[in-house]
Amino acid sequence: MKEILVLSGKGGTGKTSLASSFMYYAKSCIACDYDVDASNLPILLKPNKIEDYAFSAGETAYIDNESCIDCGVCAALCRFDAIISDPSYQVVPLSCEGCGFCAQVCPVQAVTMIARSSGRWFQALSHVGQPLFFAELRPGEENSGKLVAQVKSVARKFGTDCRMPLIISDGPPGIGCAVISSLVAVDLVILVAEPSLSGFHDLQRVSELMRMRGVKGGVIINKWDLNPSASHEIEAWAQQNNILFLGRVPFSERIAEMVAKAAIPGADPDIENLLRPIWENIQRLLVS
Amino acid sequence: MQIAVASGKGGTGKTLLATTLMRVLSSYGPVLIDADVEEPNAGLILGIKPDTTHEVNRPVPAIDPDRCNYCGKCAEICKFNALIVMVNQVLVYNELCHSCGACAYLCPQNAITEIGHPIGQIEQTNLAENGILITGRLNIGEAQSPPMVKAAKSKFGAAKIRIIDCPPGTTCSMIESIRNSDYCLLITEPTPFGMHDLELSLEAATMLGIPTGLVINRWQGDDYTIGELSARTGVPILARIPFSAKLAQSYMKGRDPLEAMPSLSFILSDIIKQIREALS
Repeated sequence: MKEILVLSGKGGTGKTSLASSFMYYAKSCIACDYDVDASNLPILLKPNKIEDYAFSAGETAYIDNESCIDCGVCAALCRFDAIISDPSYQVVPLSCEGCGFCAQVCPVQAVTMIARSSGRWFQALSHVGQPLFFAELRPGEENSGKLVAQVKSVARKFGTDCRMPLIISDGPPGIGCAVISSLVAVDLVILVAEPSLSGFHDLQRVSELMRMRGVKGGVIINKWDLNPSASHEIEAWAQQNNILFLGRVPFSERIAEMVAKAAIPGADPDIENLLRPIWENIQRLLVS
Repeated sequence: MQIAVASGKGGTGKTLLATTLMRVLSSYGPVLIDADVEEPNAGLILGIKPDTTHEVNRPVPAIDPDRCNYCGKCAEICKFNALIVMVNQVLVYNELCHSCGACAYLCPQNAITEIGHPIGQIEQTNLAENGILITGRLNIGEAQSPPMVKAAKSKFGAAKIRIIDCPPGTTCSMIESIRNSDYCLLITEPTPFGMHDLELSLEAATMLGIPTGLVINRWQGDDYTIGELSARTGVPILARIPFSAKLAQSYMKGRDPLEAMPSLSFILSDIIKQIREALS
């Protein structure tokens, strides 16, 4: 089984529009959404038969005020400003890192560490019958990397058990823990570039991370005609950096219209004419 | 006054809004903090290079082999599995360490000191037109953004006006970015993706109790369902920035958005007026 991951660095460059279209063309594939705090792939894939699982990672401190003697040792040692005295000592769950330092130093064992509910993950079938794995991190939670790892692990196990040939994953923006976690065991990264100053800058950072992790990649330039000179620059950069150029997609009102009605853009025949050759390049690169 | 500019979805116009707000407020000597430390773009958009750069470190444990007796206490208390104690060796995984300091404090042999682990840079630029840009830039390969966000936000805490350009999403680094703000501007686009992510980011801002207003970007005469969200939650729509191909193209090339869309300065002044009213 192979895994293709779609990344961009910058948000809003068209990852989900393109990833959902490639999933549609691949047919026999598992769809994953690793953007666990702002998951948009299910909006287009319209899943049904959703199975829902709680996800817990890490702990939160809790102070029992009956036993607390107000010595303040925990608050003085906490590096995350997570313990306030208002007027009795209490933990601010959003600030608590779950390190347990307070529980270790409390002279009267008034602090307990409680398992933290971090979110949920889901296994479903898309409206065209493809297996879909996605998740919802609770707002403000850490552990997005762990939730990505959970989604990846269940999707890969399912894929192995059902002898699926391919996973296509829609990645998160940025270069932090969720992206690092998304890159594990991936065979090919598709970079969706936007030909703007910030799009190019962010693309270079995420491709450096990809290179550090030893994963090969190809690049698609989206809305290339909005800035042809920057598009040429990105193409030249890709060639110099051993990143295969997979194709360019022009700015298209039609793609925007498809997304506006929550439909997979690549299912539209005109858009398919644009994207199908790119998908063929991706398949060639995957086996090369 | 500290204004956070955030969004759930990426690419909806946070940096556009934050940098143009800064330009409009230049008479107050504003400080713009680019807290999108994974992909900081405000300096690019303002077309400036940093005047000064300094490295940011966070503490991680270092083991003194002369004192350590390999008792295993540090590995036992570390909730992040950043320490592994073997027969005559302790392995430290800096990338897993959350810098809580528990191991160093609790080591029975006093064999652990904390040393700096570089996580990124803070860049400072003093703008020609009055104002300062602080950029937090996370090192590539570093997994934890919140310490970098904190480091960037610790600068110029006393400035009259601080604008925070936040990372997308609703994770811990977004919370860290909007924390302690007087007002949160959530910018979105009127699409199913924009709407879905807006609701999540609004939940995050509400959890922190920060007064919030919405800005619809690339508006084409239709609020989509954002009007219903506003009516349901009482969170006002402060402005609608019309879609403009000219603005999109000139912004991509790094040109001043206020030149491509002069009416933007009125929209921004009106946003500021509404924030002042909401906070008075």
